[in-house]
Amino acid sequence: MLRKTYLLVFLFFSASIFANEALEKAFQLAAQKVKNSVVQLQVEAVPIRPRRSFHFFRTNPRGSGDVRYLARRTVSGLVVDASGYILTDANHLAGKVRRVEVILPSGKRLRAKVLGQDLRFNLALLQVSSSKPLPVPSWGNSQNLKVGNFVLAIGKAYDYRSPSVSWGIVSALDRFSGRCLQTDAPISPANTGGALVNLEGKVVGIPVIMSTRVGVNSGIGFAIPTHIFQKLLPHLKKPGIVKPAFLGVSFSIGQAPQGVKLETVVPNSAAQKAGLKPGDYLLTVNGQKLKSGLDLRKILLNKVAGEEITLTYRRGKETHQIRLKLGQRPRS
Amino acid sequence: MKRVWFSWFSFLFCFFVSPLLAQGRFPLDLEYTAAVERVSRSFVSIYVLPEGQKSLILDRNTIYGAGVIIDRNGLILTCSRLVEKSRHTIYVFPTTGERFQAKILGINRQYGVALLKVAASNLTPISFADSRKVLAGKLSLKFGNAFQTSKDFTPSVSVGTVSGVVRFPSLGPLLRTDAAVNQGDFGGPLTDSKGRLLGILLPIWVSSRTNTYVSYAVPSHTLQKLLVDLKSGYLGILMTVEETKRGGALIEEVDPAGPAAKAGILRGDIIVEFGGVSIESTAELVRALRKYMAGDRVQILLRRRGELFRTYVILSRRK
Repeated sequence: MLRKTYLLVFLFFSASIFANEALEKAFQLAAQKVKNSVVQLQVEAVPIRPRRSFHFFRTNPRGSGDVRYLARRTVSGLVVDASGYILTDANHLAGKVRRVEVILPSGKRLRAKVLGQDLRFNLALLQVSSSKPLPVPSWGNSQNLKVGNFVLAIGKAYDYRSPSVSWGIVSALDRFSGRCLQTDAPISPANTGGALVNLEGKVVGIPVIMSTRVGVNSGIGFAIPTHIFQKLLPHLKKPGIVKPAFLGVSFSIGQAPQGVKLETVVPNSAAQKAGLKPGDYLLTVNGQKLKSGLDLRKILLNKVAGEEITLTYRRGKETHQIRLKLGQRPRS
Repeated sequence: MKRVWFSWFSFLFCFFVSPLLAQGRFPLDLEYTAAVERVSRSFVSIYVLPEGQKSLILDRNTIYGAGVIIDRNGLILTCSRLVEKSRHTIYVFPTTGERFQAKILGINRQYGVALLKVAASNLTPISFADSRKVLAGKLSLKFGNAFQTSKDFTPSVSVGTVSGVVRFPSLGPLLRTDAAVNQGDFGGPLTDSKGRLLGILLPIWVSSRTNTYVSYAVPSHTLQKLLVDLKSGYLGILMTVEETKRGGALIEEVDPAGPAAKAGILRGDIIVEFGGVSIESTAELVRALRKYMAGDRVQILLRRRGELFRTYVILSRRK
C-alpha cells in the first residue's frame, strides 16, 4: 500500500515536471525547426519623404528634415518557396528601394528583386536566384488557432545566424477586419517579416507592423495568418502593388440579421454595373451567409481586383443572384 | 500483481508519454485556450460616452476599458478611473454582441474599483481564485480592450506572471504582473491559468500609455471584501455602538446630502425596523443594510421621542 502511494506521488510529480520541461523543449524545438527559414534582409532605400512613423530606422544623425539620405535597414524575411521567394513586411521597403540583399544563415549574400506588394496586409515578396533550394518551413493550420495558444516570434534582424526568439500567446483573432491576428510576444519593429511559429514548429503567421499607435514592445503585435498570405502569394508574384478589390458600396459594419443594407453605390463601380442599388440587402457572398457588415468587409478585404464573386441580394420581397467581376479602386 | 502493473505504467509513462509531450504531440497550451474561452464569456468591453455626445462613435477620443461579470444578474466589476465622471453614459458590451447601459452601484476610491449594474439576467459570471495563496511567479492571463483594436468586443489576451505581491502604504496587498497591460486594459480581469479571477487591473502608472511590464491588480480576496460594501446601498447615517435601552439603532449623525436626510431622519432617532426586519442593535442594522443595493426603496420604522414614525428611503450609491 505504502509503495503504491509512493508510486502515485512519483507519477504526479513526474507528470508536472515533464509538462514544464515539455513546454521548454517544445519552444526550443520549434525555434530550431524554423530558424533557418527566417533570413536577414539588408535594404537600402531613399525615403521619398521622411516619414515620422519610421524614425527608428533613421540613420541620419541630423534627424528629420528634407535631407535626402540613404536609409540602411537590417530586417527579417521569411522563405516561402524553395525556388527563391521570400516574404517580408512591406514597411521595410518604404521609400525608393535601391538594393535588397538576402543573407542566408550560411552567410551567403544574394541580391533580391522586389516583386509585388500588398499594402492592405503590409506584405512584400522578394525573389532571389539561389543555386541550392532555400529551406522552407512547414506551414501550420492558422485557421485552427485559438486565443491562448502559445506562439514564438522569430526574427533575424540582429544576427543572420542566430535568431531572436520571443514567446507569447495569441491575444486575439480577426483584428483589423480579419486581416491579422494579435499576439503578445514582443516583436521588435525590425523583426517583423520573420515568422510566428506554433508549439509544433510550424509557421502560423508572419509578423507585420499594422499600427504605429500601439508603440514598440507594448505586448501588442500583429501577424498575417498563414492561410491568408498563402492565398495572396500568386498575386504577389507579379511586380507592382496588388490592386485591392473594389465593389463600390458603402454599408455599416454592425450586426445585420436581415442582410447587409447598402447605403450608397459608387457610380461606374462593379456594384453599379451589376445593378445593385442603395437600399438592397446583401444576403450571401460566394454562398457564405452574411451575419454582419463586418463579414462582408472581411470577405472583400481578401479579394483583389479582377476576381469574380457571386452575390445574392434582396430588393423589396424578391431575392436575386448575380455574378460580378470586382473592379479597382478609383483614384480619388 | 497490481504492484507490477503500477511499475509498468510508471515505466511506460516516463519513457514513452513524456517524450511525446516533449515533442509537442500533446497540446501543451490546452489549459490556456480553455481558460480563454471560459473567461471570454464573462469579459466585457466598456465604452464611456462624454456628456452631451449622443451617439457612440468609437474614435480616438472615446474613453474605453474593460470589466468582468461577477454575477449573472448583471453585476460588473471594473476600475473606477473609467467611470468616475458620473454624468457620462456608460455602455457595456459582452462578447455575445449585446449592448447594455450601465448604472454605477458603488465606487471604492481607495483601491480604484467600481461596481456597475446592467439590466440583464443570464450573464456568465467569472469564478474567483483565492489570491491569498498566490506567490510571485504564478502564470497569469490578462484580458483587456487594449487600444480598442477589437471591433467585435473580443478581448485582447496576454500572458505573463504575477511578478510580485506588493504592499503599498495605506493599502492592502496588490498583485504586480508583467503581462502586457496597455491603455484600455484597465478594469479587465487578471486570471490564473485555469481562468479564475486573480484580480482587477488598475491603470498603468506611466504617462507613455503603453505597457512597461509593470502593472498592478487588486487581488480577488480584497475584491470580495470590497464587494460587500460596494454592493450595499448608502443610507447616510452614523450610529453609536452603545446599546439602546429598548432596542434599535441610535443615529448619532446624519449626512445632510444622504438619503436618510432626504427621508426626514434626524439625529437622535432610533431605527427599530428596516425593510420589515426588526432591529435590536447597531450590528443588526448593518447586516440588514447589506442586503440592499443602491437604488432600492426601503421601509423604515423610527422611534422619535417615544413615538413611532414610518418612512421610506431610496438608498444611494457609495461615494
